[in-house]
Amino acid sequence: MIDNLLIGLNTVFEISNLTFGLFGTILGIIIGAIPGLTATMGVALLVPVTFVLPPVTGLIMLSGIYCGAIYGGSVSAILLHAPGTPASICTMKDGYVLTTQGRAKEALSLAILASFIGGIFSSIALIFFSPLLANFALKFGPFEYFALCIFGMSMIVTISSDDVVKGIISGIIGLLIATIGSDPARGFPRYYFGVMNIYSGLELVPVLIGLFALPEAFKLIIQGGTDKRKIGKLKGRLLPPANELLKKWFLFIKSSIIGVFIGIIPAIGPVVAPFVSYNEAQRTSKDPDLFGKGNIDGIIASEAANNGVTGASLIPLITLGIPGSAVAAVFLGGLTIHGLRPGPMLFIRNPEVVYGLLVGFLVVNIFMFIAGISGARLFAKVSQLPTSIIASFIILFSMLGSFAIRNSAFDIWIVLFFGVVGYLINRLNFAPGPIVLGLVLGPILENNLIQSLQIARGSILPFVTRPITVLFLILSILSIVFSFINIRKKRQSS
Amino acid sequence: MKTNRIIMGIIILIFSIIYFFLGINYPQQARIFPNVLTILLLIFSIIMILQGLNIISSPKQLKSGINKREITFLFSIAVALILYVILMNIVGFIPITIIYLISGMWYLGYREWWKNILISVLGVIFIYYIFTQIMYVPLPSGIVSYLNF
Repeated sequence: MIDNLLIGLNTVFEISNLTFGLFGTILGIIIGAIPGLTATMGVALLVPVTFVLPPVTGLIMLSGIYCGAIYGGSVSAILLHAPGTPASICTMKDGYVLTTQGRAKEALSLAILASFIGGIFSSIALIFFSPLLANFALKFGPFEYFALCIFGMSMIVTISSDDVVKGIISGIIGLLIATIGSDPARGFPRYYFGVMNIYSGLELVPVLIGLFALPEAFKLIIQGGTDKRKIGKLKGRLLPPANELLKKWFLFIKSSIIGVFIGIIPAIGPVVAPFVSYNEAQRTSKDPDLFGKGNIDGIIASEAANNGVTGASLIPLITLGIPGSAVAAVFLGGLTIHGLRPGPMLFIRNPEVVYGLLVGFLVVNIFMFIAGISGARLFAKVSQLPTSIIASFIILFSMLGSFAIRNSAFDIWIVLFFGVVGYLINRLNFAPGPIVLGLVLGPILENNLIQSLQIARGSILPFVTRPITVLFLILSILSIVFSFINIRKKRQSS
Repeated sequence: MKTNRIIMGIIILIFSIIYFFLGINYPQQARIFPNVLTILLLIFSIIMILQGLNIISSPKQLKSGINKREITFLFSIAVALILYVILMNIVGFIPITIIYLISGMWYLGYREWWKNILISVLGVIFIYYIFTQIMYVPLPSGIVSYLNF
């Protein structure tokens, strides 16, 4: 463990890795601060660039974008009264009120402090739990992986509680898109309609860029961005007095841990965690009525939780090869273009990549802290770039990036197609999240299903006799049942 | 009656039937997974239609549906982008992208001409440099390459 961490440290402290880490972090904060652009979009757009970088460097840059964007959302939430990313909706409740009260400085420094502490907790969770889980996962066979994928898919019900049927349909469509191209068992070509470019399947990254980056640009164009808002004045004290701040230590830690736990659960990400944490902080507070009226506790709870998600949400991806969130799915794209398959074997075959990423994640959080402390107002200003410029460049980068992966003009058509589809499904209240989950889990699910059936000679008995397999299947059923109970509760209360 | 939901359900129903029959002749191992999925999709599309007919309770309709203005916008963006990709191979990356950026930003409401042209030209040179010199992605040079000979 220590040896491997040293390998990681060694890798990270190469000048190119630090440079790209810092670049990614700053770019991430800017992307996050621009209302309408999300962390997933930022990571998706930059994946093609990582193609020319060494794998570790690319992954550290993507981590920087991810962490930076999740924090960056708070800057515009506080100064512009527009959440930069959905993860900062809760931050805005108290953050903007503080700005109107002339306490913007305090709100911003608490946001970066909370984000930093959340990020550090998340990085530590990533560093310590990943090797353990990977070690455990070495015992997994096709049955266990199949059950694990089912568990991942069962999360669709949880994340699409607004409209479960549409969520499930989206998931199945994602799985069906994954069946395009040769089948995993014998390589028999399926559903390719004579188009040789998809004979072996769709290239993942253009589809991801299409579903996550282009629709956001289209949305900016069609609905118009947030109109030019006045940037709140930077006034007030920098931080609350030390003794007052020290009293909040438990809130910082509790919110970070809430974020970490929610991050590890597949499919529930940085958008949900701040709500849970905010409610928890309000519930346990001595005067819950102050929340939403400029209470610094609200900012701490929300920002520590959403950055607490970041590192933790990568744990299922790198240890099991199962992306637990949309961002993780895009990270998966970043790994596969280098021919790397995430999972327990990655820890054995490419320790420098894995541990470089783990340590690098910690380092980009430090970069984020420094950048956030020094330049919050600057980021708010940059985020005010005219929509016309932002949208034009995002569309251009989406197309060029997709082209760059294998120099294939066909992939530009793919990205455009999925961009239009992505926009439409968003507007029809189908979610891109379940589609991507299906798209990425599809091949793993099918491959392990076929292998399992071969090993068991067509019998399904092992699925109910192998303990880990049974555990995952029970968890899947429980998560679906609980989601339905929740939905019923929600409906009755409304 | 929720007409939107019924229409979407019917479209998905038809899609699942087509997808099922497309895969009907594939070898067994290649067929089993997509076939199971299409049957599931069929079931859920029927549930959706029944929800639309108010036979099964459905969630409160969020504001959905796409208006005409959006469709025209989306359509015109798509046509412009398709033209851009086709013309890139003929005219070459640099000139067509400068035109794309200038006209794109103008169309989206950026009216400061000098800044617009400056951003577009500098942006394209920067992108061209990054892609060809650092990422080694050959961008089509189109007509410009003929001028060199």
